[in-house]
This record gives sequence, C-alpha cells and structure tokens, in this order.
Amino acid sequence: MINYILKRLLGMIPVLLGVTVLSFAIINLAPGKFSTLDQAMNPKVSPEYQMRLVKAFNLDKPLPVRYWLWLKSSICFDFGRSFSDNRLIMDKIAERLPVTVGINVLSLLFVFLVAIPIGVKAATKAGGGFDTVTTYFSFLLLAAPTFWLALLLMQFFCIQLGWLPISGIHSLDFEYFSPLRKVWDISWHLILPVFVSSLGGFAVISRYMRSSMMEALNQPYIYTARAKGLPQSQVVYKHALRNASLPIVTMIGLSIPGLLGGSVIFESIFALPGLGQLFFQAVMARDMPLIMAEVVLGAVLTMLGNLIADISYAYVDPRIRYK
Amino acid sequence: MEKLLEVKNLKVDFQLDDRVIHAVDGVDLRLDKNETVVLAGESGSGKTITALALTRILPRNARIVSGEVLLEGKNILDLEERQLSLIRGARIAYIFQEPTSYLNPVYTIGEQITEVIILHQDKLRKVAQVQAKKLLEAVQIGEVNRVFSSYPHQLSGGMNQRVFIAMSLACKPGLLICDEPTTSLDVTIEAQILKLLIRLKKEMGFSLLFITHNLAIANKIASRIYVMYQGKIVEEGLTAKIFNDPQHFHTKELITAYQKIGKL
Repeated sequence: MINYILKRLLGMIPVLLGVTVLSFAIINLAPGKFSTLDQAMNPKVSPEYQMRLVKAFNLDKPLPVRYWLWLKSSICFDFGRSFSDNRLIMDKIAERLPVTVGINVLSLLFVFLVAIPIGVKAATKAGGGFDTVTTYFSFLLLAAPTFWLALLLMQFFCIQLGWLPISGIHSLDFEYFSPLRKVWDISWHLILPVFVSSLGGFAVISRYMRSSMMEALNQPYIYTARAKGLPQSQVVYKHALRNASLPIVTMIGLSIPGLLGGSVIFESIFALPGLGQLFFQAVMARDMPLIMAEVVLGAVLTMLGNLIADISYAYVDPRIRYK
Repeated sequence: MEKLLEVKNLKVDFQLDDRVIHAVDGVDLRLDKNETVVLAGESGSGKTITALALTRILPRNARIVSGEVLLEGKNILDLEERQLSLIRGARIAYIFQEPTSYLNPVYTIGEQITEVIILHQDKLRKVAQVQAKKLLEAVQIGEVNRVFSSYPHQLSGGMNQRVFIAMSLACKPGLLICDEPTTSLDVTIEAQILKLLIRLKKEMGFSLLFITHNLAIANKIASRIYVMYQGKIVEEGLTAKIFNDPQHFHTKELITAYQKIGKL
C-alpha cells in the first residue's frame, strides 16, 4: 500500500509540470499586462517606474525563460511576491487557506450527513411519496444556478427576516469579543455560505446514493441478510450501504477540485476572505505569480483528491487491492 | 411423526408493469420433524419463491396474496415483521444457490457468521467469535483462522458453501431450507457438500426442505418429494412411489432427464 501511494505521488510530478506549462502559457496569452493595467492611465506613474517594474518581475525576458525562472523557485515552495502588493505569495495564501478549507470541509460534511440518509431512504421506499418529493427537489436544486439561489436566500434570510448576517466572516467589533463569542460569531456568519455551497453537491450525491443503493438492495447478499433475521436498519445500513458507497467515494474525489472552483463564486457573493476571492482578484489584476500559485494548489488538490478516493476504495471494498 | 411445518394454499403474485404473474398458485406442503423433503421442478416453476415466501423475504414486487405458513401450529405469516425476524435465521434458516454472491463481499467470513450469533443468541462478540470458529471446524474447514479472516472472493465456491452452511446452522434452526445449494458447484464438490449436509442433519436433527431440479439428488436424500410445475404442486408422494409410478407428465420429464444423464 505504501509503495502504491509513493508510486502515485511520483506519478503526479509530470502531470503537475504539464499543468503549470499550460497555465503559464494561457495566462500570458490572455490580453492585458500587469505592468500596463493600473499604471497606463495614471499620470503619476512615470515610464521609468514602469520599466523598473518590468525589470523587477523579469517581464522583459522571453516566455520560456520566465517559466524556467518561475519553476526553479517554485520547486522550493517559493512562489515569489505578488505583483499587486509585493507581499509573499505563500503568506497571502496561508492567511486565506483556513477560510476556504473550513467552509468546504463543513459543506462536504453537511452534504454527506444529509444527502446519504436521504438517498438511502428514497431507495428503500422507491416510488413512494418521500422518493418523489426528494427527486423533484433535487432536480430543482440541480437546475437552479447557485449564485441566483444565494442572492434569493440573502434577500430572504438577511434582509427581510434579518436572521443571518449578509456577508463577511465576522462582525465589525469581532476583536473585542470573548473567545466563545468569537466562535459563535463565525459560525453565525458561516451558516448561509456553507448551506449555499452544499446545495449542488447535495442534489448530486443524494441522486447517486439513491441509484447505487437501489442496485445494492437487489443483490443476492441482501436476501441472505434478511434470511438471517437482521432488522431492516442493519440490512440497509450495514449490508447494503457499504456496497453502495463506492460511487459516492468516487464523487468525493471528483468534487474536491469543484469545491475550489465553487469557492470563487460564493466567496465573491458573500464577501468571504478566502482563496476563491483571492483567485478572482488575482485574475482581474493579472497578478501572475498569485494566479500560478493558486493553479498549482488547485492541481495538487485535484490529484490528492483522486488519490484519496482510490485509497478509500480499497478500504470500502476488500476486492480492490493495490500493488 | 410430529409435524413441523405446514403450508396451506400459499399464493404469491408478481406485479409487473402491465400484468400480474401468479408465481406460486395455491401451494400446500407438509414437513415433519427430522424429515427431508424435496421440492422438485423446472426453472421458473415457483420453487424459490415458495421458499422465500415462507419467511416473507420476497423481492419487492412480489406479494403474498393468501395462505398460511404454520410453524409448529402457529401461522407465522400473520406475525409482525419484528417477530418474524426473530424466527428467520434462528428457527428457519436458508442456504442459497451461489454462495459467493449470497455472501456479502465487503465483510469477512468471520464477521458474517459472528453477526448472526450475536443477533439471535445475544452473546458477547468474543464468545460469538469462538463459537463461529467451532462452526467452521464442524463443516470441515481446515485452516479455520485463515478462512475466518478471509473475504468471500478469496475462497472457492465449495468453501463458501461450507461457510454458508456453518452460518445458517449457527443458531441450530429446526428447519433448513436449501435452495439448489449445489447447482453452482462441480460434481465432486457437490457430493462433498451433500454428504456434509446429511451428516450435520444426523448430528443436529433439523428438518430439511431441499429444492432442486435434479431428481438424482432427490432419490438419495428425500423421504418424500413434491413436484412443482407452473406455480402448483402437481404431484406428491414417497420417493419410491414417485420414481416407480409417476403420474404427472412433468414428473415423468424430470425422471427421464435424470435417467438420460445417467446414460450419457
């Protein structure tokens, strides 16, 4: 198993190289240069200053040379400094990572805690009232754009009812709160973002759960479980669920990169200081080093997600063993 | 002889999209204590559905329309699901056709046997595990510890059927229902499994309802035979009588088939 994991980790290196080459090229092909974006219209910026910027960030060198320079420093986890505020990229990412990871982990948990029981229940009573209602509801959720739902929910819960804060990660006077109050304040602010970011996954996972559960419940070993006298709950949750959970494990692996992409949208809507928002701002400012660092992070997360899914397979299903 | 099981006018329907199929159409059966009875018939004659209906573990689209299943005089089809599940596995146990697919692929053999002991005998896990290993010895499995911690896919079909027998007999049921338990196995293994079943039956003293389409087996083990055809019992009688003087054409077909195979 250890050997398998090491082999997979080594296999990631060429993929990661490919990802960086492509993204480096695409970003540089995109119109608009950092050196001309803010400064061109600003009379206070002299052409000399512009030249200094260009030199400082090696923007006068040809593309392959710049890629090589970037690669050399990135290998040592030095992603350089941001064009926008000259701070270290690693620092900028590190301070925003907890928000994004926190929200995504919470929403994943929420999705699994709610979607799996719903899918299971719908499968055991397939064709019944509960199944019909959840089927329509999940198609509705799949069809509705998240940003639109987010705005509707904000309008309803934050403005009309005034129950939840509308944006941000904490209140203005946060620094003066007691530790307990701080935790409460953050949780309060996270309810809506976590809920909204779960909705899509929620619909997909409950559908997948339903169909793979229905398949598992028709397998011969389910008759055995019933013939043994096990109560329905154990037949479903012990004997069928574990067999039905393989596709769900795949979904987790596949949903990890999607989470980072989704963060760009809802962090912008809810004004949350996370990686998604940072990425969005970086793209708008043509902040090359920052964009590259985020792309690398996204690629690493994607590959790790797949690796985790493959390892979990072996845990869930003993017939799968890696050499 | 003391009566163990009596089935009266059992009817099971399958609800398909456009029509209803009467899979079991008024079946009457009787089984005495310690007796071995064979339920014979071609594929699709309703043997398996009859067996599953006895403890109501039918597929979703099947429905028991009418009938009684009297276990020691008490109709168990009237029971609530909860009470009936106390009987399943404890007083009536099953062995199925393809052991490898009827065992759960994601749990170890040990876990699957231990589970049923804990369920019906309310024992501590440690105690149940010791008991499960003894059962594996009783069905003549050599490397008990290895098999105990194996998964079904790591064992052969014959080995899995031994495991299945151990699992089904774990709670000493009064009635064992075997639904073509050797059909998926090759002949040498088939003979071993049958011998094992006969020996265990002698030792433990349960009644055996054996479902098969193979009258050669029926001839060896059964005291009486029921022949089923298109959802109905078309002939019943002592084994010798069925073989010497078959009445129904389907019984004759089954006997000729068995004789033809003998001549091959």
